[in-house]
Amino acid sequence: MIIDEASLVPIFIQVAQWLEEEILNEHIREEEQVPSTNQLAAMYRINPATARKGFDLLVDEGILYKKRGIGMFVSGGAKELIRKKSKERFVNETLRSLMAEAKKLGLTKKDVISIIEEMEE
Amino acid sequence: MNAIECKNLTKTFQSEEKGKQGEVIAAVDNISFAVEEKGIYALLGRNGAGKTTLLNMLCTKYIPNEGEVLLFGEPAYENEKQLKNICFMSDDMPAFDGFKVKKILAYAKAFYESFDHELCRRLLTLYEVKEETLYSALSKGRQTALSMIIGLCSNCGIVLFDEIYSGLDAVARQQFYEILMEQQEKNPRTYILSTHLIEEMSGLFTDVIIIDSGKLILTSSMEDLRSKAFKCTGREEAGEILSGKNILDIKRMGPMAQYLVYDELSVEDKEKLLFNHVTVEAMTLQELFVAVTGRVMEE
Repeated sequence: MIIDEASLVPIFIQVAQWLEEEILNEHIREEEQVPSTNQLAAMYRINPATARKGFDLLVDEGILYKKRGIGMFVSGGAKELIRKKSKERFVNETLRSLMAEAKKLGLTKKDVISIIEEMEE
Repeated sequence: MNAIECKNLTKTFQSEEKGKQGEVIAAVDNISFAVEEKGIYALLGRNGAGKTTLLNMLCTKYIPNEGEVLLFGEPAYENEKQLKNICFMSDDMPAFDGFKVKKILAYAKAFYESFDHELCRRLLTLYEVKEETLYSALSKGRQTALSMIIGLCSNCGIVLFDEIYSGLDAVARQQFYEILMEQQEKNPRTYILSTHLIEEMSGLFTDVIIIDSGKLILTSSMEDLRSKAFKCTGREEAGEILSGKNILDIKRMGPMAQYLVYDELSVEDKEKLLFNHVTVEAMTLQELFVAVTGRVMEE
């Protein structure tokens, strides 16, 4: 994980997004324990309070759950939750910025769609 | 609760500069701020800005000409309980000269009642500081490491580190950051770290204090800073959207300009900027520091 200091996305949200990505990639699987905020803070040189805030966000969303005295774990069904959330992000951010970029190049929505249709999967 | 509160702190010295001998200069000039408990504060300032003088007043090594320091709500001066709860370490500790490491540690252990012996052993091994060595015979890096070890192990409520990491190599610094983060999770303390290594340390801080020529320039939490310190890059005339905002610096590149803004930007502001093809990024702590303390070179 590289924290992007220039990004307008708050650091704790970047931490949460990093963990979501690792869960989607199955680097960390459902029902597995996630790294401690302490490990994360030490490894990436970020304040533990910031790391914790990012993890708490995922607890609130049901992606992680806490086991008292042990740590935080990935919920069953977390991947599905993240996928749903990421789809929204894909539409609201990725596709929007893609369309903005296309507009700069003088490509219409139709052009973009036909390019996508011609692409090999 | 505030761990530290300082009100209108001023410290003056007589100048020793040639031609200005005897002239009174304020190394710290009417500075007030509060430090929240368990925060990790960056104290930033250029060389000679007054960082060391300020830290020396917080632990009452220097007595201010004016103003007052409160530690956990109590006046600091001659307050034995609070002064045992604050540890000030710099890379230059003349008081250690002439002693063996063992003796220095024995003093520290006797003074700081809840000294962490276990952590101390671990760190002495890690940094290869031998107890039988004379302080003056230690390398610069190990002298620094000793200051750092005492600060981390003192278990004081407040720990002040004055630029100690500069003498450490990249590996030793990385180890220090890791230990600091680990300790902060296990056993949170209040830290003020003065440093020039802004870029590599900025993720550690919860708050920042910037001083320049003895005066307080700004104090803010890192979180607030990220929502009001921006770099806006686009055509120069698009900068009109920013009129009325607090602009720290404008860098011109042909028809383009980069505006360094220290102000809140509303959603409408951001939309307007985007519509006018202005890219908005967050300013890094280092960029902000340079913008508020850098003086323009005369041509």
